[in-house]
Parts: sequence; structure tokens; C-alpha cells
Amino acid sequence: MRLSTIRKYRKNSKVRQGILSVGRNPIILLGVSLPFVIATATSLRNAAAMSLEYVVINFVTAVLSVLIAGKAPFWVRAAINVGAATVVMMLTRALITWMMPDISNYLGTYIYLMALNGMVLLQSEEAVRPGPVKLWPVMKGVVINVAVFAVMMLIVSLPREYLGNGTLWGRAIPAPVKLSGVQLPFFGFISVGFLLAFVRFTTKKIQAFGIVDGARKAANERARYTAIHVEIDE
Amino acid sequence: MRIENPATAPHIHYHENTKVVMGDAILPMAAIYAMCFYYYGPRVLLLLVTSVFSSVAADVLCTLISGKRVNARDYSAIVTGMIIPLMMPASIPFHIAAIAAVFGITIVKHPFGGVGNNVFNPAAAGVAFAIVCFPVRMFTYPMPLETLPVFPDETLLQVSSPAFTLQLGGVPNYDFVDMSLGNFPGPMGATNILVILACLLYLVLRGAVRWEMPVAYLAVFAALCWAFPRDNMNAAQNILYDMMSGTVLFGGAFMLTDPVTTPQRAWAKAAYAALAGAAVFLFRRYSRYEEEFVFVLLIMNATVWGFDMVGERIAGIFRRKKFETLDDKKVQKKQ
Repeated sequence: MRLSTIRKYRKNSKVRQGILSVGRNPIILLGVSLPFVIATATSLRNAAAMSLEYVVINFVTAVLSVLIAGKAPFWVRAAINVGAATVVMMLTRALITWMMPDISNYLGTYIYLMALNGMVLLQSEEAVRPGPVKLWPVMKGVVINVAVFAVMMLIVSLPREYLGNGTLWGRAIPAPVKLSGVQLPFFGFISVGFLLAFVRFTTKKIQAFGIVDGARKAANERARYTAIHVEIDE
Repeated sequence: MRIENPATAPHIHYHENTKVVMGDAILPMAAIYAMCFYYYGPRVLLLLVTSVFSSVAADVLCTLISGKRVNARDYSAIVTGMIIPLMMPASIPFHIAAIAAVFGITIVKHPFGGVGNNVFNPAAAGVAFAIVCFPVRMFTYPMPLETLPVFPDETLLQVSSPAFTLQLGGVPNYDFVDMSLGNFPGPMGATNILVILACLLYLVLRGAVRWEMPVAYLAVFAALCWAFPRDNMNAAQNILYDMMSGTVLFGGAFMLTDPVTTPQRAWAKAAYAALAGAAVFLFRRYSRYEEEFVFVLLIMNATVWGFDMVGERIAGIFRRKKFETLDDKKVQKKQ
């Protein structure tokens, strides 16, 4: 086979996988999860409610996806997962309404959309991978994912609630000025952008420190080795 | 001039340096501030100082955080700080002007790489943020020729602008002479129509602004006003009222023509400005806010790379054709 044909096939397959594969399509992975952070992370209570819903839905669908792994085609598994997520969502919504009745209306359609978040679909596809599917590794992934989601929600919502409403967890805190604009979705995008930039900046710094630290250790080791050899020679 | 990578953020491409370009903007705005001082008193100068100080402080802080050297000859933060209060009522609280300036510099200018690299106009973004956060404060104006106290209280008479009257479908009861002299309520810098036109002329003659931009922008806006006049007024009245009220002229003179956030080719600039004129017209008719220019400008800023990319491709076609013609002439000469 000609090399150009192979390259063309690889390029096309990447595009195809990027569009069709649930685990690689950025719109499905990020686009279906991002709106929750952008639109609903305007107060700590909202963030807590959405995180609770996210936790419950993802744990249930993770267990379900392990149980039905390899027993049905992908589209059936996805439908089962989404169906189960919808049932769990309704139950969680009832729980949230009971716990925090004032915010369930505010969350509006997002509380329903959570049943179709990116993770639910991803878990359906994860189970298609070769080899036996074990519960623990899947649950470990879900725990990390859920924790990151909750932390992200809380970090984004804290300044937005304080600056926008002058409250924290619904309690009035003296604020110098109220900026109602920070409650709007555009500021959610800005917050997420800044957060990502901060994470990237910190990661780079840590990596740089690691490299410098590693080089320093290596130099010390070399110096010690040289000193020992000098002593032996003498 | 060949552009290395037109898809990247726009850059200043005049032969002058940043200091000269920004200096050209500062001088006309000083004239507008003089008019504002005449109409509203010394509070205007305090607003100017607050905004410029906030803007410069934020700029220096962001520059230091990003690990760059502070350039004392970079006046861009001063220009941003000067533009922001001019788009606001003279009675605006000081902290709102400061918040707008800080927002423009820290959120819109520096994350994209600072001066020469910002995709969006920082002043427009700052004013837009202030409008979103404080719509009531931003759209109630004091009457001109009333000296304002430093901290106006609730007893200060504040009225809506002619732009609001137009938005409601009414006809403003100000005559055109008063309006051209700036003797009507509105954003303190945007009401001095004659001074703004004189400043625009100065900028064009200095070469700081390409004439194609304001001409295309105002021509398209006026043509649309003429073609689709509002109810209760004829086409000429509509053109004058729509142009004089709000920030249409001021924005067209000082913000739309910002060399950093405009396309690079002359005709691309004209097309960009014409589209901005059409967008301002549509926003004036159908948007929620009476001052829509800053939102239009932010949307238009996002399209600059497209104008640059198409502009380069078309320029490439013309360049190729020119060389082909030259080659043909050479061949003909040899024969």
C-alpha cells in the first residue's frame, strides 16, 4: 500500500473518530459538561446542588455501565445509561427541592440536562474497551471526575456569588460593591478561562521547579561522586 | 506590505510608534474633556484622574505579573482610561469608572498579550461591563451647564437621553443646534458633536485614522437611517437624531478606528467599518440597551481576523495578476 494512502486513511480516521467517538469528541466531552459550570455556578448553593446531582447520576451510571458491559451494543448501553440517569435525576431533583426549595426553580432546565452530561455517555463507551471491565478502576475514575467537577463548581461560584450578590451560601456578607454582571454566563466563561490559565501556569511552574530540582540533585550527586573518587585516588 | 500571519491577533502597523499613535488620541480627547469641564464642572476631571489612575495601575500590575518590563512610553492605558469616562454620564460614581477601567485592562487587554495584541477594545469591554452591572447609573444623565457636586446625592436631577426617547419611538425635543454644541443630556464625551467631528478631522489629517473607516461607517449608518426612517420623523431628521444621540459618532471616531483592533488592509478596514455601521443601525433599532455601540464593537472585534484573512487572499490574487501582466509585457518586448 502506498504511504500517502496510509497517511490519508490515518488523517480521515482521526477526523471520523473525533466526530463520532464519544470519548474523543470535544463537544460531547466538554460542551455537554461546560454549560453547568458557566450557567449554574453563580452561587455556592447552586454549585452544591449541581455537584450532588452529578455525583449521584455518575455513580449510578458507572455501576450500571460495568454491569451491562459487553452484553449489549453501544447504542443500547447509551440508551440504558441515559434512561437510568433520567430516573436518578428525577429523584435527585426531588431531594434538592426538599433540601433547598428556593434554588430548584433557579437551576431550571440545567437540572434536567444533567441526565445527559458528557460522563454518562463516556461511561457507555468506556465499557466497550477490550478486556474485562472491573468496577474499582471505573469507580476510581468517577470519583476523580466528580471531585474535579465539584471543586471547579465551587471555585467558580464563590467569587460570582460574593461579587454578584454580596452573599455566601445565601448569607449576606458586606461587599464593597455589587457587580450583577458577574452572575451572567459571559463571566462564567471568563472565570473558567482564567482558572484554566492559572492551572496551566501553576503546572508549568511546578514542572520547571521539578526540572531545576532534578538538575540540582543530579549535580549534587555528581559532585559527591567526584569527591568520593578524588578521596579514593588520594 | 506582506503580512506574515494574518490569522494571529492584529498588530499596530503604522510607521509611527505606540507613543505617537496614542499621543494622537490623547490630544483630541483632552479637547473633549475641556468641553465636558465647561458643561459639568470639575467633577469631570476627578473622573478622568480616577479612571486613568485605575487603568495605569492595573496595566503596570499586569505587566509585572506577566514578567515583562514596564514601558513608560506606552500610553495605551492612559488612552483606555481617558475613553471610559467619556462614554459615561458625568454623574457616574467614581468606583464604576474605576471598575470599568480595571476590567478592560485586566480581563480584556492583558490576557491576550497586552498592548498591540489585544483582540477586543479594552475601553469598549470596560464600558460594556459597566452597562451590564449598573444599567440604571449608566443611563441616567445630569443636565448640562449644571455644576455637579463631587459626590452627587439622590436629589440631583437626572434625565434620560435622546437615544432613550428614540428607542421608545418618540421624537427628542432638542433642536439640532443645541445637540451639535453638546447642550443635551447624554454620555459626557459623546454629546459634543462638533468637537468630535473636529477631532476626527484632526486624526484623519494626522494619519492616525484612515479616512476610509469613519466615512464607510457613517455613510452606511446614514444610508440605512435614510432608507428605513423611524415613525414620526422624516429621513433627514432620523439621520441627524440617530447620529447625534448616543455614542455613534464618538465611538466611530475614537474606538472603531483603534489601530490595534482593526483589519490591516485599507479596503478591509472600509468593509469592516461599513459592517459595523450596519450592525450599529440594527442594534439601535432592536437591542435592549440605548447605548449599543460598545457591544457592536466587541462583536466586530471578533471578526477582524476574518477580514484580514480574506483581505490577504484577495491581495494575493491581485499581486499575482500584476506579476503575470508584467511578465506578459516583458515577453512582448522581447518578441
